[in-house]
Amino acid sequence: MNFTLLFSVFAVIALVSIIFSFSMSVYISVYDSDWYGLFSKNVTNQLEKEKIFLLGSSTVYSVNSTILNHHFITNEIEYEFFNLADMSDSPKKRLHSLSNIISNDPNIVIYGLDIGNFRIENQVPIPTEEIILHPQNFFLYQFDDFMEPIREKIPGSPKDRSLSTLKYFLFGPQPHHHPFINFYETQITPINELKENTLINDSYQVLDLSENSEEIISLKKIINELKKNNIKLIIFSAPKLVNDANENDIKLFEQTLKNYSEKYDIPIYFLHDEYMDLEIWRDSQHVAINNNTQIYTKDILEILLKEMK
Amino acid sequence: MLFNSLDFLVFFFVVMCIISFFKFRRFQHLFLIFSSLFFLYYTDNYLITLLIFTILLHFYVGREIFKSKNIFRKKIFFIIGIVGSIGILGFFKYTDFVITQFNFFGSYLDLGSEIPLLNLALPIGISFYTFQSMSYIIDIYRGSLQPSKTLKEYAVFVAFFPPLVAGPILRANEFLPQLREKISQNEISQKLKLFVITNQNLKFGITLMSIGFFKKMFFSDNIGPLVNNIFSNPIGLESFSIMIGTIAFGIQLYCDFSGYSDIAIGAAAILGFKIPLNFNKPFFASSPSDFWTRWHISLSTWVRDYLYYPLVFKNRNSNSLVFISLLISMLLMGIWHGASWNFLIWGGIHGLFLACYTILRKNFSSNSTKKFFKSKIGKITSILITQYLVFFTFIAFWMKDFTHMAYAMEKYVFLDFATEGTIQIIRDNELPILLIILFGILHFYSYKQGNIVEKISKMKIHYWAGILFVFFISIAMFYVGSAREFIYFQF
Amino acid sequence: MTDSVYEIVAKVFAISINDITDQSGPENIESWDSFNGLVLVDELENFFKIKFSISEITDVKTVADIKRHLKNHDVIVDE
Repeated sequence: MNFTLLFSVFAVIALVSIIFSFSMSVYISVYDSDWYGLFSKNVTNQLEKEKIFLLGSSTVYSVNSTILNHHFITNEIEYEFFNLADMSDSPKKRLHSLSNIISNDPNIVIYGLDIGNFRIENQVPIPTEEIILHPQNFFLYQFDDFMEPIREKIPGSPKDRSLSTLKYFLFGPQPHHHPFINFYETQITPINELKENTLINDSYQVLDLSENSEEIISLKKIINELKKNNIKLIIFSAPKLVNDANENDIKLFEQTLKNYSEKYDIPIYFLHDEYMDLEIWRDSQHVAINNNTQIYTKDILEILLKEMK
Repeated sequence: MLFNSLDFLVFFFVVMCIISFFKFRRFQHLFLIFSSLFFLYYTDNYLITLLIFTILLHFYVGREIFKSKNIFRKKIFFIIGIVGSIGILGFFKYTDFVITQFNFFGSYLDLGSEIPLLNLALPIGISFYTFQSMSYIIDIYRGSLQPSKTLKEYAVFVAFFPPLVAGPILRANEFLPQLREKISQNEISQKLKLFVITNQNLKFGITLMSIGFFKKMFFSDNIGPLVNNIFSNPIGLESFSIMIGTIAFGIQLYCDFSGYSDIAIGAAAILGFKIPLNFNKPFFASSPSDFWTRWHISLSTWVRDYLYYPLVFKNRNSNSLVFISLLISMLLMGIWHGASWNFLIWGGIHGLFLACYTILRKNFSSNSTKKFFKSKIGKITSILITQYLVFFTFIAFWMKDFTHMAYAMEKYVFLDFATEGTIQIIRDNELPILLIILFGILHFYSYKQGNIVEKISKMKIHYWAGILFVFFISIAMFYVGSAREFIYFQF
Repeated sequence: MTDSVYEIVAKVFAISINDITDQSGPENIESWDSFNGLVLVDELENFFKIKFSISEITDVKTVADIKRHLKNHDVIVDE
């Protein structure tokens, strides 16, 4: 093996990584955020209407801001809605961009939480048969500690980020209401098919809602920061077709949210088991984006209208 | 293990290092077998026993065929070998399909009861390694190949990890000699050789692998959403939209599969193996038969040598038998891609095109037509017509729903010249459309340039690194997120 | 005899005889596909009055292979 050759390959990889991480953060400075809600600070501050931000992971992606904003305009409600969903978002990840969120001065923040956000690796040793049958998972677990920090730095979709930056440089800042650069219509998958094909694998993850959980700490920080800045927070549990957790965990999750709701005086809504019988699903975790799935958006609208009063 | 995953890169790097640092031939070959088996076991766990069974069966059968003096005995072992591979492939891949058809007719005849489906998992790479081992025993049976002397050698051939899960399909007579020590220019000993990773091979292999990743992750993954958008519900779309969908899908499929092949060939090249090209600028094919010398070459030559030639060899002067042989060969090639009707239809349409073309060529090839097709205009015309037909077949390759397929095909053939919806689709999918155009330019450039991989890998090191940089940065900046499976994995 | 092999190859694939070497094959002759491959077999068989077997045909990857198989049929081919 020739080492100059390998060295140049590694040099290229290193250079690409540097440019990559730099440009991914250029995106952040351009758009002032760590999310997919694409607007620049000076533009949003020029908007005269009050702003509503929707936060959450891909499970809130399909809330259609166009419909919501259309409703606000036709009913002369002086609010504008922005869906800031980010792929595989969690309180811990969201905390990084919290100051940006606050500096954009929203009036209401509505936050969709997902039980998956609070699940962590189970530290128990993996049984031998599991290693034999799924060697892939075994290796993933072995290197997880090493990979996690790297994974956290790579955005859910670098493509969207590059394109957004590119668009910004080419066309300047644009108010943009959708979470990802494309808001495609997606197909509804028959519910029976989804239920059959979804394996619930909760053996290597456990729910951690304790006070020491990093996600819980982050969530509390988010709540406190928003309170400090007089931003109204609404929390809801994001809808899922299959909650990959057992019933006790789900109950615990509900109870914890209720406790926070009382403690911090935050309105809370439960949607996680709301649509389990409806034919509106793209997959077991995500509502499809489609004319026939508007119930999700409409429920969010209802929550907002109720809380605005 | 997906090629476009970190797991594979780490795996490959480790294999490469170990092979180049431990220079004992006995160790190297065993290590290669072990790592290949691990490669499959990593994703397919216990189904790896099928691969091991296939290796043992065909090694033994091949040897017996070669040893037997008696024609009858030869035939018996040959049949055992063929039944073995077709049996495994058929059982795992086609049983449920056959049962479904049977139940369908059963309910039609009101038989009352249904056979339950087996719901077997499709073992990864089975279509590829069974075909590989079939070619091995057919060649021995025909007398054009000497069987492997050692099980070790044969196991490296069948289990060799780069082409294991999605091709190219290797041929024993091309691969086995590469495992052995060269004595002189024309002579090869039976002894296994030492693997040495040379500079030239390393540079060539890295170049080809990078191009493969570039095709897959930059082009295929980014064009994919447009295809799904148009093809998942084509009803009501305009002709031009359907055409954009077929063009996008053709390019997506090509980038996906030829990208996979490039990575496999590149990885093999680094380890010192020369595997022939699997794709050769298919979108510049100028006739249906030219297309099949450029698309999935390892499969098309397999079908030609082991199916089409035997069928047609004695009857090559009869138009109708040539026609039928081509049709049968292509139907089987179609169903090889998967147990469903749409692949059969896809193969059937290709068969019809090939058969009609062959008959036309046989009966109407005057010098003046030959002259016309050699001229520039003639060539462009024939490329355009061929591609129009080829892209038509991609509709059947994608769509499993018959009403969708029929609608899309009708719109593709009978143009409605409406543009409103198409313009909207183009507006909503700027990136995939731009990538399609960029792909067209690059495909044309590499068609004109000839062997572009060779050229890049012979560049001075700093230019070469510059080109790698362009590939890697485009992959990183346009990475769509979670690793997506290669389309050809399912076959 | 090499010349006549080259001539036949050139005629079947409609290319110039100067472009043909022993290394020519489907990879570098564009018109060498399965159809022309069989035409070539016909032409060779008629010219040299021999019959090829199927394994010989599938084994051909270059012009050199053709010459090798012709030799096996006792056709004298110059090197």
